[in-house]
Amino acid sequence: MNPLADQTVLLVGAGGLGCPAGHALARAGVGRLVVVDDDTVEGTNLHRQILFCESDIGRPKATVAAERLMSLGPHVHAEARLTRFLPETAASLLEGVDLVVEGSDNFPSKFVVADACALHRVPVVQAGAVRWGGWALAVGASGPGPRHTTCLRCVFEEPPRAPALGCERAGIIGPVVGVLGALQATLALRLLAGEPGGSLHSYDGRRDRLRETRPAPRPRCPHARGDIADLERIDYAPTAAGA
Amino acid sequence: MAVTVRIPPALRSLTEGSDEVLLEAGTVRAAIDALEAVHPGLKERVMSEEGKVLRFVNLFVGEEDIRMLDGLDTELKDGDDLSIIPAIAGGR
Repeated sequence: MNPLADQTVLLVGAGGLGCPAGHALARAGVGRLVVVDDDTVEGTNLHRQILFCESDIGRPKATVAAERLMSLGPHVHAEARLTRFLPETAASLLEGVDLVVEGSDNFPSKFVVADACALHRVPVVQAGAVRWGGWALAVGASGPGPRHTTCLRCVFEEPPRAPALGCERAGIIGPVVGVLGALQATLALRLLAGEPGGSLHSYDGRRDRLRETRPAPRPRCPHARGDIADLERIDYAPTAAGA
Repeated sequence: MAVTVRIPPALRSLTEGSDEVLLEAGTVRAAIDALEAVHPGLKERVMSEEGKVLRFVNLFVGEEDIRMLDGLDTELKDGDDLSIIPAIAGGR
């Protein structure tokens, strides 16, 4: 019996990270994948978003991604959610979910996912990439309180107030984001196998370097202090949160 | 102390593409100042006007987060690596 067959993974964002991560997790045997994205496929996505092809342009990414994942075999059940991961949708999207793979393109969404996963004690693998490099962070299900382990707020504290450097402004090399998506899938499988998380990985595609560090939990992290209880009371500015 | 500062891809437009900069510095703060002298504009991508490390930037000496050491006053030894790891949002 495949121990992954009864696991559910939520993919937040069906983009350059979510496509390869979802593909790898489906092939690894994860039984149920739920894809959250409210965007549609564009021609400029195709060099990196490997679940889509030209005939998909204009169709909802979540729908197409779920179809492609289902086509990988009868062991895969995939569902589409044409919405965003927001403070008001987080609880319902996390229902029945064993792990989240977050591949959104903006800091507000990354922090909403990080906070929701901490509150609901759901492990999460987060990542970001632009140009030739990026990072990935594996976070365990320690939840808030004194036993809190390293999370996004321990590492990056809060969303930057200046506009973030994202793919649209800076560009992205398709294989680089593919490496990070595959790394997210690897980290997800490790968390599902019971590893505690807490590792931060930085990848430099131009120098072919992958470096792992294990930042300690930050004592002043709001989750360690139990300061975050209601996501809808948190200011995730400067930009609107989107998946 | 001769140290190597590792520049992430997102900041290499400020170092003319260099992925590492060799310089002399005894502390992390001195290394950032020395970096700014060689490549103007880098300091403001790492530190605030108040002289603190930006919250969405991580600095590591070797494998150690400087927040778990002495922050910007963390001492550097000959041959140390100082890595800058900024938060990056892209990925779609």
